[in-house]
Amino acid sequence: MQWSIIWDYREAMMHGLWVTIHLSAVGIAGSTVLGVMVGGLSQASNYYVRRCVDTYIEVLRNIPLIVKLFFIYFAAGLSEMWAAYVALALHQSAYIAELVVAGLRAVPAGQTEAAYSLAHGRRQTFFYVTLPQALANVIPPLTTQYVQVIKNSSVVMLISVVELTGVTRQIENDTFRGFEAATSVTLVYLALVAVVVMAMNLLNRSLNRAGVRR
Amino acid sequence: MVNAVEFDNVYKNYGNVQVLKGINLTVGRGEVIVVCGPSGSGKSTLVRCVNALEPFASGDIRFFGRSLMRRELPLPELRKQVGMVFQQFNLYPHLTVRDNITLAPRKVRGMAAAEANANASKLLEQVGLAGFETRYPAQLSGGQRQRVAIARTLAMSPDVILFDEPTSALDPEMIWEVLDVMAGLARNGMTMMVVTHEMGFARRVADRVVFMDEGRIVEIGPPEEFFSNPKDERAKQFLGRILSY
Amino acid sequence: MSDRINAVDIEARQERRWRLGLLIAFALLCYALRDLNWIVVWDSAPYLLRALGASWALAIAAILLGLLLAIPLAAARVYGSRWLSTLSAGFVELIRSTPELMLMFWIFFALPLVFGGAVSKWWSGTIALTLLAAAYLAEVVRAGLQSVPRGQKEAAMSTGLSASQAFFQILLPQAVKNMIPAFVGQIIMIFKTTSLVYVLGIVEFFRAIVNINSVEFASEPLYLAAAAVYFICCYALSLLIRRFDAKYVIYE
Repeated sequence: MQWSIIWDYREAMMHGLWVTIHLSAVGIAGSTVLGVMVGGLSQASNYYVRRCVDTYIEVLRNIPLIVKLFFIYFAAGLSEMWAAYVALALHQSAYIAELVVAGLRAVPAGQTEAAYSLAHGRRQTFFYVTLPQALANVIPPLTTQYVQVIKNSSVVMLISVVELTGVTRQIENDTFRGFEAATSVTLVYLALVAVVVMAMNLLNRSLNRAGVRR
Repeated sequence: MVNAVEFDNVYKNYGNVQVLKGINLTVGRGEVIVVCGPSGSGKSTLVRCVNALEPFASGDIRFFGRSLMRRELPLPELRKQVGMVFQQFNLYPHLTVRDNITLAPRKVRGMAAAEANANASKLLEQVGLAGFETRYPAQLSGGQRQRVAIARTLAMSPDVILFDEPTSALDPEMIWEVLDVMAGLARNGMTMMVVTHEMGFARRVADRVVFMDEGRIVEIGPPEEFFSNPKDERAKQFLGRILSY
Repeated sequence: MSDRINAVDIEARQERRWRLGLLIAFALLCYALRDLNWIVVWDSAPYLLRALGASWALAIAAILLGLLLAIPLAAARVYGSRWLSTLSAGFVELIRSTPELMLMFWIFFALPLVFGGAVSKWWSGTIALTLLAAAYLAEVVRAGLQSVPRGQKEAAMSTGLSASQAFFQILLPQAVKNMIPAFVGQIIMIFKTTSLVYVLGIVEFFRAIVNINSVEFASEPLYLAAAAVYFICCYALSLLIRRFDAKYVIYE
């Protein structure tokens, strides 16, 4: 095994890491915004809106990411990067929406009763009382979802976006040192995941200290 | 002089069970009414109808003369004038004490933050919690939380405050601090409807005591009469059990 | 008279209207997409169905083999010494934190080194999926084992059963019932992941779709058909879960 190859390709790997980080960041942000919006709609007074939320979650969750990605890139014709952003965000938003729905349901009824008896309307109660508590409750499973976004970013290599996994394939094609490449890149992914998990755990702990979560 | 709250033959169901069976009751301005009775008698439901947390099936409730059944008073307006204190406090755990108190004045009444904060500090002093502005509910004892809840209700300057078993979730040694605050409010002329088992409070602070059993008002009268000379058999039994232990 | 009964009626009626609306929306969608080249899909149906069978075969093989691995992994984690438990946890966490595609590449590159020669892509794919299944199922089994009341283990051991007898005859059977919803959830997840072995060149359902597309260039109907097939398979399975446990939320 020749590990020095990895050193030779360090620039390519750095570049790939940068693309992965930035894909993941967009994916995380986009899916969170979408997921919270859709999940929030589950509290709507209109029955049909609520059922739309269910449909959104079911449809997007049961279709693999790669199918959505290829459809958006090849059939709908977005550019590689935009197809990647949209597919990553859409895909994870369904899972996050489901989390948010569960988190909202877990906020005690007394909270909304208190808000209503203080003359807050539905919208104010949702934004100031229910949603913050739901989000705070949902941080641990949300962490898993963010890790999933990072893992999913590797799939976009299949539409020729050169992120970390794409670099692995490149190195293998050039040098036939696939094993060394794959091992090193896996380690980089693990490090990336570890950073995100630690950051979320810190967030969780500081929320716990303020007593935000019961 | 129009009455603060008037119940006019109110009926309410939960599914197939009739929880309120023909309630007639008037609460005058500045009156303190204590509602007591065995569990399941409908006492909580009674007060929760006043601020429309519970709908009622027939009859009417009038708030300062305006009918709730005929929607003469829009819900947001009603709730600005009626406050409620809950058995489980229901403070917002993600907000500081100060934000708990000022959220409604700022967002519902549109009060400026500085004014709301100053008001909050005054209210905290009034309930004996001066300086607690930046703490979180999780850091407070039960009695302290309930007093913050009372301050939060007072911040909206309601005309009537409803209390739904405000001390039932408290450890015994903290009950007095909350009852003290409530007694102070009564002395200052607040109209109050209090569901409670604290008979000492009823005896000393109530203008009238209402005894409910199985959805009906069975006995009603000034505390002296109620405690020394109850007319109804069930009321007698209830008092006997509560007072003699 | 009663408020509660009216609410149930209203909801039933709204649900019926919703379903009707969905049907109409679907019909409209079909009409809007009628001009696409659906003949391609129809003509390649036999090929696609065979490939779908391959996907399912892969998924089931991975689940069964993975389960065989997962049970000892979970047992080590819950009942093993601290050393064993950490090792098991480390292995599971490693697999769960690695991108699935990366794992497939890694297995594909590593196997020749282990077996000293070329390895068929089917083996690479199966092993990779099996490892994935093993890691995720280990968590399912672990949760199931931990849901068995602690007293059961002590009772079993104190009546003279050996550790493995206690495990297989007392603890595992009780864990199984709680594990069913999560287990089916994992089947769904592994089935969806088979679409990724595309990268190794294995002709499972997704690769079949891509292959046809590279010949016929009918990307819209093909990918829509792919989406529909995956959706139907996974949704049907998820309905099965709901029959067991209405409140179960799947996070895969």
